[in-house]
Amino acid sequence: MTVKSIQTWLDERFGISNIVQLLRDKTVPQHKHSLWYYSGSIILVLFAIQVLTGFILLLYYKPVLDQANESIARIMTEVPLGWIIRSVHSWAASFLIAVLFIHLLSIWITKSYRKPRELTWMSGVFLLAISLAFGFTGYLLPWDELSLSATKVGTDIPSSLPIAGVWITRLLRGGEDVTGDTLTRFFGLHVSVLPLFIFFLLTLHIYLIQKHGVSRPLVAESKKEDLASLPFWPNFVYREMVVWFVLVGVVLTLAVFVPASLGKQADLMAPAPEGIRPEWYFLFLFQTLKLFPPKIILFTGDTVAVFLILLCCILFFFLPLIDNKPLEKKGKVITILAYAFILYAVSMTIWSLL
Amino acid sequence: MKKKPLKLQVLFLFIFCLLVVLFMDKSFGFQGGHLPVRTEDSENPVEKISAAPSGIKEAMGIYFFIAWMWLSIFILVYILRLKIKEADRLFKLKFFSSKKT
Repeated sequence: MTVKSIQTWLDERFGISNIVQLLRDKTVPQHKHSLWYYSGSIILVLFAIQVLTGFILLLYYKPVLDQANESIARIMTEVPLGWIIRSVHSWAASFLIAVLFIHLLSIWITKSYRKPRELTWMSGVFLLAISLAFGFTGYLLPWDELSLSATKVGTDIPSSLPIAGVWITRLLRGGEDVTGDTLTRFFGLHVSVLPLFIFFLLTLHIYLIQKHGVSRPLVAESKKEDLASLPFWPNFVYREMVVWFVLVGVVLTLAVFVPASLGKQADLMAPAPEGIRPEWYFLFLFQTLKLFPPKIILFTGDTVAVFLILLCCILFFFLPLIDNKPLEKKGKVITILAYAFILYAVSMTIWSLL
Repeated sequence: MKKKPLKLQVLFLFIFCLLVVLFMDKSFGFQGGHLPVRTEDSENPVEKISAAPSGIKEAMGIYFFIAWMWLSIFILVYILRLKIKEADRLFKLKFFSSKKT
């Protein structure tokens, strides 16, 4: 049997040539903002790295109070190249969140969320939220001092909300405090519940992108003018592959030269260590919470802060419904708000470091 | 066609900026593993496990692999550039037009 005959055999059964033709007919516009189109596939590549490395780590990790830290130590010291796998998982997670923020901000600034792509935006915001949840739940899994203390602080935040706040905290922790039950819950969320959600949302997100096509600059969309475009396959995919290869190289190199290490096993009775900080992508929120005074009129500072953050999140989610102007409108206020958010998040993160 | 190198440069700059930000993350110790080292206590002397190759042989193997990987990436990128040029040329000639098949 030749390769050609195998191809024909598969084509007759799967209709591969039809799929390839469909991809060739799909086009990607070429203009000065085309650079942002690459961020979507970068996210998918990083997600694939996370799934692969996560699965390997899952083979050795034990989500039990007295064995979690030990099992990570075993991965790093006894499992062949286990420390690289863990480092790749850690670095790819950071890259994933960073590129997700860049991806959403680029859509915010270019206003690609406008009609008919409102649901694409909303599913994207959900994907960001789930990715952050991945980061938050994964942070506790090494069960070291810092991850325990940061999780205590993180899971305590909802308790400042009235009515359901304390219940949410108890639900997250599996009790009054962060214990082995929390570890088991976070592990379950990290490896089964969140992947299920992300898979469903990713499918929906990609379907919506296929349905509505790749967004184009507002001026071109409103005038329905034809822009220069490239076929998705193979012209655009080849370009994307350049980025993927470099990205994989960068992640692997960083994993080797700046590897993730492991702290001392967490002790539930020990006092919190100094310098508790969440992952870098939560730092601006962490610093925002610190800015509020203990009491604001009738409410505690934390309650007001959490309410404001929740309000911002809701506004962010419903952005396409708030900014539902016709395509020809530039929406300068929205652009200014996007830049203000970037400035605020960066300055708060730097402040938190100082 | 003249704009392509500029686009690639911008992409590399983009990746570089990301790296700078993320390197700050690691080097300033946000990760759980990068804890400030304390004095050891008698009950649990292990304070921090640093990830590193287990021996000189593994270290050399890894560094060799990294060098080989980057060489392969450069070659692949070079091949991809040629493929991109060829694909663009065929597209201009409408070689893969759906009407043709």
